[in-house]
Amino acid sequence: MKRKRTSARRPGRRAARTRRTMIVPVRPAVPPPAVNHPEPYVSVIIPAMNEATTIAAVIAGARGVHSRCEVIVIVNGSADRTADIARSSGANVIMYEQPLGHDVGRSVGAAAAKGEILLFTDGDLVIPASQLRPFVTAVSSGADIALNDYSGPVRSRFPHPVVLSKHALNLLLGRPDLKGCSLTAVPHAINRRTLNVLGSGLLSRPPLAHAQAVLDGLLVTAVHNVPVGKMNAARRKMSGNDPLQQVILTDHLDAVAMVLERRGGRAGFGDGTRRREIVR
Amino acid sequence: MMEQREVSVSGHTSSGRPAAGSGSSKGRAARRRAVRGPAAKRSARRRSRPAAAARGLSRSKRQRKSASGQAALPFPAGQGSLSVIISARNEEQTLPKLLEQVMRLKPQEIIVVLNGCSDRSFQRTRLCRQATVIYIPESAGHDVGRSVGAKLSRGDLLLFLDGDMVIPAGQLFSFVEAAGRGVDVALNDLDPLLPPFGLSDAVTRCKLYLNQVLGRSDLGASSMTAVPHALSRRALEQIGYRELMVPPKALALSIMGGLRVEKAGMVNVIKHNRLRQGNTGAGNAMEQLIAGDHAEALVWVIAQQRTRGQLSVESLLEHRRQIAAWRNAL
Repeated sequence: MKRKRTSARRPGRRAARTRRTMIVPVRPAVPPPAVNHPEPYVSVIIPAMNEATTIAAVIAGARGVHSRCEVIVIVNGSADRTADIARSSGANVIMYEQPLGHDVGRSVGAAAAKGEILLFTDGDLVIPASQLRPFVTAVSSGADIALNDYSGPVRSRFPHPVVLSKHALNLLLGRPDLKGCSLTAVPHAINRRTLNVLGSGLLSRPPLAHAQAVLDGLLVTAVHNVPVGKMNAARRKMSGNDPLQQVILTDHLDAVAMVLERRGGRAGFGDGTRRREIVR
Repeated sequence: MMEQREVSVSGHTSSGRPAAGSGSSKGRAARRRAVRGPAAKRSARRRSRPAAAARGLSRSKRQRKSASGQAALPFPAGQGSLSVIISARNEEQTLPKLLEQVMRLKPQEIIVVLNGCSDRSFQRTRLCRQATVIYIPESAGHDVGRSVGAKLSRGDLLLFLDGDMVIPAGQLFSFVEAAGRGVDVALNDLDPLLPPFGLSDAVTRCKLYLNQVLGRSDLGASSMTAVPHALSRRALEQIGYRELMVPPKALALSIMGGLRVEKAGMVNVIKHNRLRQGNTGAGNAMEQLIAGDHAEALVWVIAQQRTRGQLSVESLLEHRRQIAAWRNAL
């Protein structure tokens, strides 16, 4: 469900808003059982690191996506009660004392998943089942990868470097229609075929996984907008510069390199009427 | 092949001979017409229309008058000689006016590279006595034209223009001036004209991304793909004139080669760009060509960065771990 914007610019809207009202939870008639299904159709993969305050609500939302559902929480580098809470919510908890690293939890969860469809989300994003179901529905009705239709903030002339990288990667992939949507953003869902083609390891570097999926001809579509930019927790930054940014930018550049290796030096774009032989 | 040879000969002979008689030029034009065939027929048909002919004549007369009336903006002596290189295809309407503005800069030489022209661009350009005209019968691409022009040029500073737009000498001057004070690559700054990123076109996104990868986000969407831009002779020699055929790669070569690359002026080429079939609409031919050019540039940049030392996969993983730990230690 897309909220209609009343005007192009609403200065100070963040400050004015007291509560986030974007998500309207749809309460299921019968609350889903707080256990994993023995033969799951959907595996929900939730990396979590010190998310004790949100994890219960995240799992509750994940439970509602399908009647045959398993929830896998990859708890890593957590000093709080994240693992205990996740276990008591009936999730399959995979524990790591040390932090796994950005997006590595996705690979671990994917390797452990038993379902036909894998739905990826995150321990700090409380998303109700109604907002997650479109991804599962899209994959069950034929898509290989169902992306969050979220391109990041694009209202300024000069976007955030990561936002620019995502757009540029899709352009070079010949998929400008995807704008800035990619496997980088959760929630997204993939089918088992995609997992087999990409391998669970590559999911730790989402831009590369995204590029390879498009290059391998998998059906990649942006299906539903979940405005995760507004929901993300504030993180530590180093003098206004996120150190994670460099990692993500490198991943994107490596993905671009992969596209150029596979599609040739012009990424499949023609040379027009240019006659290079004229100049010696 | 035959045509091409004849053409390049004409380019060389008229080069640097501002006093070439109009009689000889007429003769050469006539010979060319005979060689050209179908294109010549088309232009002949157009010429037979009296209205067009009259308009053309009055225009050129007016130009000559106003050229003498307008103040010259000569480039200060001692900062090097100026070569102006104009690449054009079917621009009979704008070329004479553009040349008039260029003449105000008092350049040492003007090189006009015409490609695939089926109109009177050639004849009109020859009215400018200083211009060296290079005529390529078939479409070769405007970047190829610039490359050819650069190869034939001799000036210390090179100003690159397209024939489709008349830019006042005052605006051209800022690029020449920048090159004169030591900027190796003086670019057109289109940033104030950009729409919000969400509405920008593929070309702008490519330019922004390449500059970001090159660590020059400060250049915004400035690129050698856009004219006007000026180069120093040093830059041309370092880049190599062949590389000018793929402007984003030339830009990458300049930046990674340590040349001084700066924004030097703002000319609204977006507003005045002639709309043609092939440069309008999303996914048009020009967009595809420029996207491919940026791909080529990125191939080179990535190869360079990798040879200069890149993180191994293991150290990358370790780096991710450290960052995750650090970020969560709130």
